[in-house]
This record gives sequence, structure tokens and C-alpha cells, in this order.
Amino acid sequence: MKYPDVFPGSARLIEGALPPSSLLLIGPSGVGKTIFCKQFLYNGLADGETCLYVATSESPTAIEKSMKSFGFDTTSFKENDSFRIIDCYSWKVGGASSSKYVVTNPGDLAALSMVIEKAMRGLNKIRLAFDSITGLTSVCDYNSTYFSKFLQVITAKIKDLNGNSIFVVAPEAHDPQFISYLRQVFDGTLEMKEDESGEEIRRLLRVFSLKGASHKTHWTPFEITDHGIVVKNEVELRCMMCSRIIDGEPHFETVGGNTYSFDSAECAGTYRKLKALYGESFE
Amino acid sequence: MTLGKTLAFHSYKGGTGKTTLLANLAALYAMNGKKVCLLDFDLYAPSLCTYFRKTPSHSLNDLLKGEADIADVLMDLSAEVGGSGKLFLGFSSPRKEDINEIEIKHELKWQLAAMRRLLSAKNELFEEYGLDYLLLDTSPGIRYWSINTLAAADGLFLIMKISDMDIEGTKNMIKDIYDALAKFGSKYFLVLNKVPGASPINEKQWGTSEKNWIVDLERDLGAKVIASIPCYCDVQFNRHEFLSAVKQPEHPFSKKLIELAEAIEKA
Repeated sequence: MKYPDVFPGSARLIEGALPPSSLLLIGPSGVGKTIFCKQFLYNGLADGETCLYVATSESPTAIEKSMKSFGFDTTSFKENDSFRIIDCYSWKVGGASSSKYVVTNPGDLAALSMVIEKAMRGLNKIRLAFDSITGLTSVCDYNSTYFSKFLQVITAKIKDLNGNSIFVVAPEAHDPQFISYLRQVFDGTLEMKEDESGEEIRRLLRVFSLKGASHKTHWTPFEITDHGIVVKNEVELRCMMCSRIIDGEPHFETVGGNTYSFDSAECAGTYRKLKALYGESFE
Repeated sequence: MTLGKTLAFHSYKGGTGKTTLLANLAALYAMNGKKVCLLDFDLYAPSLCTYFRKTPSHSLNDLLKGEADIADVLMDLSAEVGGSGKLFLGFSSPRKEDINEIEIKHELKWQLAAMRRLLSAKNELFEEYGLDYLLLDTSPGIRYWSINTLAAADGLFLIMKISDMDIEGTKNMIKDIYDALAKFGSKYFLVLNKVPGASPINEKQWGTSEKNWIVDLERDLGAKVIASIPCYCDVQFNRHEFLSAVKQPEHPFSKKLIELAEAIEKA
């Protein structure tokens, strides 16, 4: 049985159906986390779910415009109130917002919780994208216990409604301890990164962890197209040395405890030689 | 698919005659039906473009920067050699700005990207052009791009003159670089060039003592001498020596080059 994408690429990366889950999406700025969230929500809207978008870095108008540019027209969903933007942005520009769900002081986590609960009230199944934890922590003073409670309450309530949620974080803005701590709060972690080893920058996605479902763990390339994120069918392996896409059978070698894939034995040999001459700095 | 061989020619000091030997060797192989490509990776002091009197539109520097493909860089000079093989040349840029850029580009990320482009181009050369030999001219001494070029090769040929300075420097280089590369499959050999004593006056005497001297040198350096090429004044001091090995096949220099070419094939 083929399952539909809950988030972009989920049908390829997860075996079977995705159970109701709270997911942490980790990735550097510019990698495509926000469009990933928008597509996740649009998939839900198209499936008849009510979708909540907690936005800290864009106004509702900008969000709708940007979604439309990828073919995710939310006009009718906004009219029937199935697309609800929890606006944590407009306070920065004076407070005027096209959304019914406005947070005037996102630094006040209790107030934010109340607005989210209000947006969830009376619903049967929802999905939520929280974009982003990084945006929120930049405007609020918090201690980790209180913040953890805040996140756990929201994720529990969404799961209680058989819903899925994605919470976004940019790791470069936080210390590694905070990221490790966040990983514990959620049911699973999705990771995005950019690979600059080739001629062009490639975007990669992987399911790092997920409770209650079998999943692939390798990095899978994706592209941001005019129609949103396209997770590629095949896994493109690139040679660790010459960076070319490996067409045939990869040549695997373990160097310094790490296993790498190479285009050929020659490339593996060259890598070993350079590593021997330049030492650890050669990666 | 069977890949051809990648051979790098290197020396401790400049002026050992690497470029002359390599150009002649490449031409000899091409004349004898081999598909050969010679790349000028003496990026800090390029001279092959002067040797062949060519001004290419794209250089190896463009390839390393990611601004050109190997196909843009190569010039097909098979016609200048004649014979049934192929001779492709890739030149590096003699422009002051390009040489300076290579000198100052020490950022590891850039160097790695450039190295990846070199290796990707190398694979393409064997796959798309069906090369028998990829010959790499290198910068003398231990420099970033001489090490990179050596690492990209299967066979390493250390060209040296028989002066104490050259011998001691070569000995250290073998210990620091060549032995490390040999652990991962590289083979290296010595080529003695510009060996004095080929003049008619003392040729006979030198011929006897040379053999003993070479045995001592091989023991001292721990490497095999694959060829010993005398100093021929008319070749070395010609203002523009140009592919003597194919243009003057009866010259003793040409005969020595043929011996070297055969020795390399067997190595």
C-alpha cells in the first residue's frame, strides 16, 4: 500500500504510515525548512485537516503569498477557516494582522499557549507547523524547564487529536546542548543540510529518528522547485574524493574509522594518500 | 574498463629538465600509437605553453577554479607529432595574476574543491578520451600543488641531476613524501638527467664508473634508477628545443628517450 506524503518525502523515507508524531526539523538557515513546513501544512489542507501555522518571521499576508508562489493556494482554506495562522510576527511592525490569531507578545509563553489552544479548540484532527523555535527564543527569556513544559504541552495536545506537528530550529543559533535537549522532547527528528562538495550546492534530508515507525536514515537529496520541495527518488551517492555522482557500484573504504563511498579504487587510493600527507585537516 | 596510467614527473630543484623530457616522452608515445594527455601542473612556473608556443583560451587554472571543463582546456596537438596516436595538451596560465592566485590560495576549502575538480577531470580523461597515459608535469619541491599532483598519480618519476644539492634534497623528499605515497600503492623511480660525461673525450671512462655510482645512489636513496640520460649540449642549450625525440630520431638523446619510454611502460 502506498501512503501519501505527510511531510515532503515521508512516503519514501518512512515504511508504512506515519503515526501521529511531533517532529523536530533541524537545518541551517536557507536550506528550505520554511517551505518544508508550508508544504507539510498544504498536504494536510488538501487532505481535509485543519492546519495551524505558528509563524515568527513572516506576516500572514507574506505567508499566503509565498505559499501561492509554489502553487499552494490557501484562499479557500482561509475562507473556511481550516488554515489558521498564529501570527507571532506582526507585533514587530505595529500589530496590524490579517489573522484572527495574533500574539502581541510572543515572549510570553503562557499567552502564546493560550492563542494556540484557542486556535485548536473544537477540532478533531489538526496538524501544526511551528516556524520557528529559533525565532521564538530570540524574543523571550526562558528557562529550559519552562520551555520544555511549553513544548510538551503543545505536542501532547496535538497528538491527542491524532495530529502531526513539526517544530523548526536553526542549530547555528543555539548551543549544542539546547539542540540535544530539544531532541528529547519530540517523537522524532528530521535533519536538513547543504552539501557543498560538488560544483553545485545540494540539499539533503534525512529522518534521524522516529518513534513507532521504521524509516530510512540515509541522506536523501531534495530540490526546491516551483512546485515546492521534491525529494528525489534515488539516493545519489557522490565520490568522497572527486565528488562525481557514483553511477555504478560504489567502492566503500574505511579510512580513520569512517566508511566512505568512492567512484573507484583509484579515488579511494588518492583520498588515502592525501589524508596521509595532510592529516586530519583533509576532509 | 581498464584505465590507463597516470604518471607524474617531479624534482626537488628546478632546471632538471622535467618539462623537456615530458614533452618529448608524450610525443614519442603519441607517435607510437598511444593516446596521451600531458597536463602542465607546474602552476607556479608554467612553461609548456612557451615550449609548444600556444596561447590557450582556457587554462588548467580555469579548471581548478570551476570555470572550465577539461574539454575546454585541452588542445589536440596530434598533428604536430604525426603517427597514429593522440596527443592532448592542457596548459596552465603564465599570467602573473593567475600564478599569484595559486600562490595565495591556501584556504583548505578552495584547495579541496580544486583537487576534486582535478580528480573528476582525470576520471573523465580516461573514460571519455580512452587515454593510455596521463602525464603530469609538476612544480619542483614540496608545495601544495606538487603534493596534490603526486597524490593523483600511480607512477612517480623523480628527475634529478647528479649534484649533491639535488641528491640530498631528493633523499629528504623521498623520506617525507614518496614513502608515504608508496604505502598506498604509488611506485616511484629516479631518472638521472643532464648527466655529465657524455662528451667524446671522457665517454668511455664515465660509462664504467657510472654503473658503480648508480648502484651506490640507488642504495643511498632507496629507489631504482630507471634511466640515466646524458647531457647533450645541442639539446640542453638549444634556444628552442622542440620535440627532438620525434624530429631527430637518430640523435642519441632520442634513443635515450625511447629507452626511457620503454622502461616506463615496463615499470
